[in-house]
Amino acid sequence: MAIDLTQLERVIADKAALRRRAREQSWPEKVAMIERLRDTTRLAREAMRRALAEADKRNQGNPSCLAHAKWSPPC
Amino acid sequence: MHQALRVLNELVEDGVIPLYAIGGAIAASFYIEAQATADLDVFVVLPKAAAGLSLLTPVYAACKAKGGVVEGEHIHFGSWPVQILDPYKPLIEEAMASAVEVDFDGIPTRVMTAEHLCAICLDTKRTKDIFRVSVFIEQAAVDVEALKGILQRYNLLDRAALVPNWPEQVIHGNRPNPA
Repeated sequence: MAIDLTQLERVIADKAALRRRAREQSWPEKVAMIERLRDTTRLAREAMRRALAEADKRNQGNPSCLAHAKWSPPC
Repeated sequence: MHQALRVLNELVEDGVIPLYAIGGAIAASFYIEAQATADLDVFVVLPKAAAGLSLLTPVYAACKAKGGVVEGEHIHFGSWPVQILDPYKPLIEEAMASAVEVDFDGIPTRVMTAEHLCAICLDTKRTKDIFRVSVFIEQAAVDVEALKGILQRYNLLDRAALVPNWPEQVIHGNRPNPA
């Protein structure tokens, strides 16, 4: 598959612009961003924990399902 | 954050603490792009007991009286958990003493200098701390010569080898040989 260099350049430029904007923010703006990121992460973690608990409840007694999967070292 | 800073300033005005300085990711975000964190690290010179032990109780009591809610190792002010830390080693004592006065949305506060934040990161040397130092260097937000001076004073200069973009390694090509 051929790589679309124009698209790649655009992605790199967008990323650079994002980082430049992030650097140009004032300190209170950065702190507000950290706060949003922290709260979103917490909500996502809680949602994932709830979903796993529900899946676990649904699949009780079915040890082959992913919710019961446990890693064990190779013999 | 505003409430936490106002309370910290009041603690100084009321004589509960002589001095405080913000460290960690929130202080780093004063100099470089925002760094993810869950809490606000505040280093506080704590009152000492007769036996020389630092006393957190009066600080916690004063924080609670001003609306702080103690939860585990944090005191919550609004949505911000604040961790009160004792300057437990000379490097941190120096960082606190040389912290700079800045302004957060009209509230005066003190943050550690970029050089001291980097030195503390190299002292702690967790992966995220090394990464933070490399961001400081990448964004030219730290005076590397001043940082080297601090690292030398605290016997930490060898930790610079952990930072992938440490300027000396790039200029002189003396990156330690992995073999």
